[in-house]
Amino acid sequence: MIPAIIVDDVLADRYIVRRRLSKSGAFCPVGEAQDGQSFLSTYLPQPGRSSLPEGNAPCLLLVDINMPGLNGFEMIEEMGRRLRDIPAPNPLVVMMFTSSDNPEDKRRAAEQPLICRYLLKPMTDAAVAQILQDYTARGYAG
Amino acid sequence: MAASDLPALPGATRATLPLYPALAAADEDTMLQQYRMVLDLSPTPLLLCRPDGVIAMANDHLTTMFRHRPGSLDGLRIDLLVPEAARQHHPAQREAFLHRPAKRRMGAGRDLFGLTADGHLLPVEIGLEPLPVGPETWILATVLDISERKNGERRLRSALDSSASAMMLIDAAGRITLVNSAACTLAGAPEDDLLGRSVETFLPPALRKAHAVYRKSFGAEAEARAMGANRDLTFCRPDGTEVPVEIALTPIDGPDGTQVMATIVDITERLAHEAALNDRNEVLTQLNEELTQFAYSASHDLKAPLATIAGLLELALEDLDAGAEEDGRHAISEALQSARRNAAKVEAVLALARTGQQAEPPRDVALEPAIRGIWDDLTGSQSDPPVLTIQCLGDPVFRTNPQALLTVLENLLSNACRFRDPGKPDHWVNIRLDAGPNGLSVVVSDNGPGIAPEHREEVFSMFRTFATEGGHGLGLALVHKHLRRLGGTIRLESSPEGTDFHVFLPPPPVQKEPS
Repeated sequence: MIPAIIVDDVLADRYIVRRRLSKSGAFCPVGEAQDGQSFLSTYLPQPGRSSLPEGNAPCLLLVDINMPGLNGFEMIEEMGRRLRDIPAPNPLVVMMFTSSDNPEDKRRAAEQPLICRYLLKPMTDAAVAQILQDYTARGYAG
Repeated sequence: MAASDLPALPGATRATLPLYPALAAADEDTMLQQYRMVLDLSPTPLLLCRPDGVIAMANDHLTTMFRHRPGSLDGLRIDLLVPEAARQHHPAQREAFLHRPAKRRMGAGRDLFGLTADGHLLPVEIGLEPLPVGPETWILATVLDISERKNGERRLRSALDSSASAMMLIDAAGRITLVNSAACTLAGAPEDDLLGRSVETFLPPALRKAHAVYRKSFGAEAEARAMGANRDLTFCRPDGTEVPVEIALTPIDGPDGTQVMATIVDITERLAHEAALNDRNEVLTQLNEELTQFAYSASHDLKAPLATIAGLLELALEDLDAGAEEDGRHAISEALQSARRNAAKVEAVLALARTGQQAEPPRDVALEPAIRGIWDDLTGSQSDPPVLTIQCLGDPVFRTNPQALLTVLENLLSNACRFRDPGKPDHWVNIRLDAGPNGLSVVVSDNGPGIAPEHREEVFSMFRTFATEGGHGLGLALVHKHLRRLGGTIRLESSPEGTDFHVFLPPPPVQKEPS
């Protein structure tokens, strides 16, 4: 099973993702954070210390861009700093998950090496299939 | 014109010179007859004057030039042809010439005039040559009418004066030899003060030495060009004031060598105009930036809820198909809530876009009743609203744009009411008003959780929301826009104990009474 965390300030969007992930049956456990700050304090409270869920595949992290306080990009930058001292393999597969198709956001996502996919809302079964394909490509059965 | 450039006197001078020794010995009458013949044949106006100032003979060209009848000047005094002003010194000057007789130009450097029979002053150029007649030295005078040349100069002068640009002709030594009236205006000094002055005196003192060097190198290149490429040029008036200028340099060849015509344009107004344009451009750039931000934020933030609604409805459909009525109902009701919130947000965006479009006349607003009304609307549906206190220190009414003031108050009160600190036992909102002739100041205070220092700058941006309680992130942007339009200000003080918003509104501009 693939552990997953959804970081989004909109409750309904988290609900949709949770339902889609659970429908595929490939993700467990599924955690949530309502903004970047609470994700960091829950899962990466300080540099080098991680309480990210562990499974037989790296954790899927779906991050919204527009959130109060830290936005998605700011959160990922800070996350990168805190992850630096954690030994490989990388414990996370990070995907942006947003309703923005603004080219500036897409460019920023492409430039951030931690981000491996840019998904548009709403979450669909097709998007979940895409995520699973990505995991297969990385050698995880899901 | 150098003396050697004087018009040749073929009959009178060149031909007769070799005859001088012979003539000196010859009979005076014969000699005078020969002179008469030479004068009459000459195409140049000539006269022969005795040492005592009596005209021995004048040719027809000269007599007609002075408007006398041919032959009528012979035997008359030369003073007749000399303007009154010069007449007094004329005999002494003649004596001086005879004392050291040599071919020369008369009155070098001065404007010479001859007096005509009808009393006009004729601009002339006069060449003098001693001529031995017996034991005496007589004077042969060549007189050229230069009125045409003077007219030409005058025309050139009026052409220069009609130019809006200041023009200064500078000689090789850097002295000003000609100025037009625009140059006098620019320098703030009359022509006489400018002529002969060194051009360097009009430069900023620090540049004078370098300019002398530039000037010499320009003399060497001598090609028309703009001066001081890429540098700001300054013209220093004698009174010390400085004028930003543009200068073009054109070499002009003349009899006294190459001079340089400097055409100087005062660009004070143009610079002011450019500065005004730049200012306007900056404002427009800022507005454009706002608009870009607005378009981007609006498209994203209005689209996000639609994506949510679509996602929820897809789930609902699947749930209903699968017979999971409870889940379907939940998804639909979530979608409905999203839709409602979004509708309110669209209204807010439109309100923001409309701000400033309609010019509403200022009206007296009764402050306390207005606040009570807003508060009632805001808290009507709440079971446990914060406690509101109102302090009205100044006038009870304030004249302003009522819609703008109400929008400002409504948004500040709505925030104060919405953001409560759950860790505090009771919640309150205080509003302090002080209206007077100098304006209205409002302080809206609450004992909410406060705004983090890093967010205080950004709270006035559109769609920026830092709270997790919801809200469309437009309220303070709207407040800000209204206040800016009315010339007001807003600032905030915040701590974990609560937040104070300080608003100031100036009185409305005085309306002009229709005359």
